[in-house]
Amino acid sequence: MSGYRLPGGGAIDRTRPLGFSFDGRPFQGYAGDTLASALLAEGVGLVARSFKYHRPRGVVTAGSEEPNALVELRTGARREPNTKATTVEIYDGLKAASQNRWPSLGFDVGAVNSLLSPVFVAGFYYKTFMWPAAFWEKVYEPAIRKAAGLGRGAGLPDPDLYEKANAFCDVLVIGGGPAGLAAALAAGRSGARTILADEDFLFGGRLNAERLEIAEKAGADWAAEAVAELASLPHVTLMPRTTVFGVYDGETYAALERVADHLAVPPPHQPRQRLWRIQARQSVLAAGAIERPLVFGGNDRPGVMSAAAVRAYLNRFAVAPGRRAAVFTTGDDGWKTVADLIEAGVEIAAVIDARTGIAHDHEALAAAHDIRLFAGAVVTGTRGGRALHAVQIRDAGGGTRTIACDLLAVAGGWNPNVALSTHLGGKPEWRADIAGFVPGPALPPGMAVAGACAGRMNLGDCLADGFRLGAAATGTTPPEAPETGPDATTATPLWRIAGTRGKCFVDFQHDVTDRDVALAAREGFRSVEHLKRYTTLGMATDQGKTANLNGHALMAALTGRGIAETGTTRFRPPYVPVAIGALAGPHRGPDFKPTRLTAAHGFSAEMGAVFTEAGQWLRPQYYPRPGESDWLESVTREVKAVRGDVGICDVSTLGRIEIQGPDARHLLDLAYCNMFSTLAVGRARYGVMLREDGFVMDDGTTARLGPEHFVMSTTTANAARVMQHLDFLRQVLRPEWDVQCASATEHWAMFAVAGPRSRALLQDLLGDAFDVAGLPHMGAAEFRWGRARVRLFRLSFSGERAYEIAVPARFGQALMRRICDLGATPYGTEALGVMRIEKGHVSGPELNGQTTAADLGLGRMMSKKKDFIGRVLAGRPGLCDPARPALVGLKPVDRGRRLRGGGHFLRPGAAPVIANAEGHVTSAAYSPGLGHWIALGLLAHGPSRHGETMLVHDPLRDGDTLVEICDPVFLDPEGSRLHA
Amino acid sequence: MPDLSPLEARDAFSGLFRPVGDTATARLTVTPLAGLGIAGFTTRPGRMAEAAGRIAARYDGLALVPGPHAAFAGPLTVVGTGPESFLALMTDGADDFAESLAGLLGDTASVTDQTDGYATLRLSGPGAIECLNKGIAIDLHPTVFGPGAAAVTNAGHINVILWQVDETPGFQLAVFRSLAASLARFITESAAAGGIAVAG
Repeated sequence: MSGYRLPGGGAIDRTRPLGFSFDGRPFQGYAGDTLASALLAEGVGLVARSFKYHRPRGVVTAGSEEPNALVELRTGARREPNTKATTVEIYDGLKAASQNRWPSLGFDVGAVNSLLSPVFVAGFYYKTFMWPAAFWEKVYEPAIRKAAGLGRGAGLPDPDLYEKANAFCDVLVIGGGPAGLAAALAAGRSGARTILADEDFLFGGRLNAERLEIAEKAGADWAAEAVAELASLPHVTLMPRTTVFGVYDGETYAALERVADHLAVPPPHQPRQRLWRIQARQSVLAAGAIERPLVFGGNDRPGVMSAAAVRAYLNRFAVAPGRRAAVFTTGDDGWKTVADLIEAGVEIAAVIDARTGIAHDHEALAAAHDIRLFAGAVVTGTRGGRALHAVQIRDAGGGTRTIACDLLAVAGGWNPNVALSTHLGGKPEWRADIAGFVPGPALPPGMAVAGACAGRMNLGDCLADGFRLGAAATGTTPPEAPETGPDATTATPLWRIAGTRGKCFVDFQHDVTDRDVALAAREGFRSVEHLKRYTTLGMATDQGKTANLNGHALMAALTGRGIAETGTTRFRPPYVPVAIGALAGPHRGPDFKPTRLTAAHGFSAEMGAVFTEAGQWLRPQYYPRPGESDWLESVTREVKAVRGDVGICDVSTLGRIEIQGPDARHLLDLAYCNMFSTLAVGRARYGVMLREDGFVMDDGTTARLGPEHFVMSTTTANAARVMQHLDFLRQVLRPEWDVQCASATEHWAMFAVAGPRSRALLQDLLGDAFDVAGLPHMGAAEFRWGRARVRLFRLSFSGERAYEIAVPARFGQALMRRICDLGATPYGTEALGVMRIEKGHVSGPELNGQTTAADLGLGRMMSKKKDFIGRVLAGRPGLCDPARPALVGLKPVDRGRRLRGGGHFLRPGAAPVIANAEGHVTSAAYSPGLGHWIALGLLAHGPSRHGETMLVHDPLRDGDTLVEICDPVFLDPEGSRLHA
Repeated sequence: MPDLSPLEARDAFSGLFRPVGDTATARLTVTPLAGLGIAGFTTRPGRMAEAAGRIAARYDGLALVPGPHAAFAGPLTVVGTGPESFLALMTDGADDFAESLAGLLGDTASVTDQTDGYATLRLSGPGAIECLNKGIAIDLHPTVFGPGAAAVTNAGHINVILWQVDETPGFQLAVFRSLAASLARFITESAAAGGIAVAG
């Protein structure tokens, strides 16, 4: 092919030349060009290699239905594979490269696949590579994977931003061609909130691509005026470069706006792409129609192009895609291409019209320009290698002729672009008069279909439809549609051309031929859905926009059914490929989810804390100091500081729920398995909550601050779930109770201050504000300290004398700093864990949703004097079985060995199979006080087995360890340190 | 003898917002709000009217409307956040507000101090709706939302309480204090292209 730029015309800006490169060669285009139009203008016809057979391919269309011209765009981290050259707006410095070829586009070794095509038939991967079986993993699969796929990802983090946004409107108009512009004008003029979205960067659709007339003006000029009017209407939003790609329940539409794809680098703070969620009361689908190819031998040769695309290149881009053209048409539509080629001064070698009765004015046109006309003839083959040199035709008399040409424009009729109408299950309907499927009656709620998309191809009908439906969507009277010039669109379908030479492609992108369809029919894959899966017809990035109907029509003929009966596949979102980056939007890396920071986070960071994630929270894990070589050394120091002096731990992440009202105590009695209504004001109690099924849900302490006022503590992980649970209990199970719950987690910054010196430190801190010594174990108090209201609880998780002090969050950072200034050592969740394991307190690894209170040694807490959630089902025989794994302590027999969580208990000598497992290690820690590793575990008949030796089987890490089963409380079982 | 002076307070949005671009033409103005007294309250069964009456009597006829609405009277704003539940915000008297509200409502409602539980800010300017709609899937158009409208929703996965205060348009947001940094990041990323001015 040897395309060239026409001397005048087109919607390009010749004053703005833009330099770009393709496969390293420099080229020039103009503002307003697509990569495809600019390459064609520079005489580049070969742009890609096909997926399976690596056949040379050129540009076939001028829109997003393009199956062939897929390129890699940009370089480095911005490299983007499988971009359609027909939709890429060029910019200065654009770098594009061909893909799926090696070593070069011109000479591609992969083309050898074409010779092996008998092997690569439909479903070949189900039939070949079966033997020897051992070859599959080592040889076949790697080889297939290497050959599979199109293009290469960047393999680097995407440097650009992606954004999500929500939009709302009364009327969403999808497609900015004549019907869409008319619909938007009608809706917009009524004052309705209207969005007009078009995937192109220029509104107007076919009006820019054709020489049509509206109101005695050029169609493109009418479109420009319509756009100017829409831009002036305050409630109308114009969204160019925006593809509506999905229709969802609740009148929701998804759209992708290519904000900066037409620029080398997005401007500061601008995303590359924006994902829109559009909520529209009504929508008008004006997606137009797509010209279908014809199935003949060699129909994929570069230089064979849709006749409508030829018109788009001539009229919109001022590009002649070839120097000597032939036109192959099955209807009047192709004659528009003849006229436009004549107008552009391109030589026409022949017009091949498959019909015998050709209108007199067409014949006259051909005669006037000395064009050879073959009526009742078909193209049967093409010649050329990487470019078209000639076409072979069979004339009405059966004779064969060869016609030299470098461009073959193919007009096979139009398929309404029904994709979006089927996303919610709508079934397209066959219309024999236009030989195409149109949207069926089951449209997505709120959607109306206008113009060519509804099978009304004529320009006058498109405008009338748009005005009518735009007005209907807003309940107004449609404006009168302007007069339009002549527009002939009829075509006689021609599904397959008999007696052709060479491969006849049905699906260009997936290299599916008519023979593949025939094979599927022979092998019984006759439903269009089976045909799709078996041959891959209609899959891939173009979703068969150009291929489906031809394939389905072939299947209909092969199986002796009509097309209506054979049916067509439905489309699924997205209408065009959408980058995963756009779907993720800004939520990647640290922004994947929101992060919750405690009030004293800044201070802990200042102290060098290493943080760990607990749900959305970041919690200090440990505070390494200079000279410490690993986490264990830091954690050991922190534990020793607490046990020997005093430490402070930020426990602000624990859930806190205020429970108030006359029935607050009843709610607590219902929620907890132990009794709370007897708790005295000013005292706190440890509580265990069961689920309805009898398993433990959560634990924590609840304090009574007043006769009708309690504050409950939950674990960090279960804070939200416990809040929901309490709301369920009071709103659903006991609506008659007068009790109110509110989460107060965020209001308080809370710190555990633990260690023998904790009391003295707090007394120093609080001075006259509160008598710390007067607060008994499990005491709770609230008092004022300067501006701050303070809550102080004497509770211990570590086994030391300890307090929890809470202040309003704005004072949290200052309080932690002050306590550290008074000599407390900050400690994190690791040291907290070590100390609770030493004390045998259960936590997350034991509260795992599969343990009962009895399993955890808390069975006696279950009150026999009252009802509570989980009481009945906790009494099931299976949950009371003494053989259930229950809480034990573990010490390594060889005290030098390390213990780890997760290992299974086996009797020494037992085979390491799951049937012999008698439980598992839940939590392990190095105890600085004992000088060796200790652990907690759940072991069958656990409490009666203290003193036994078991094997901990850990095949994943450092093997097996003998352990001694012991009481889970390793330290101070009498609690003397606690009460000190 | 250690220093017993009151602890230094730290505002939730302290240091989290910076102006972006030319602030004179910025499409969004962010005003972090500090020093507010905030309290949540839930009326007791059958006592809504009584609670509303007490609030109206004390605060200039402020009308407590159940549902997603915000009501304003002088320094007080009350936002509906759930069934019988409200969030009350007072521009002065932060330290005592929850206590005085509890005193006013007596046994008609349960009050919880949330003064430090929520970080609050105001967003205003022509870019406010555009910025919010990058995370909030609620129609904020003046014909649909408007002053006095409220929502408990989420903005870019962050739980927020949102209400419109005036036709500027001006919005106020309350988020859990721990999410202040995440919200600041969402707002900054969403509005940076149009410029951000920081007030207050």
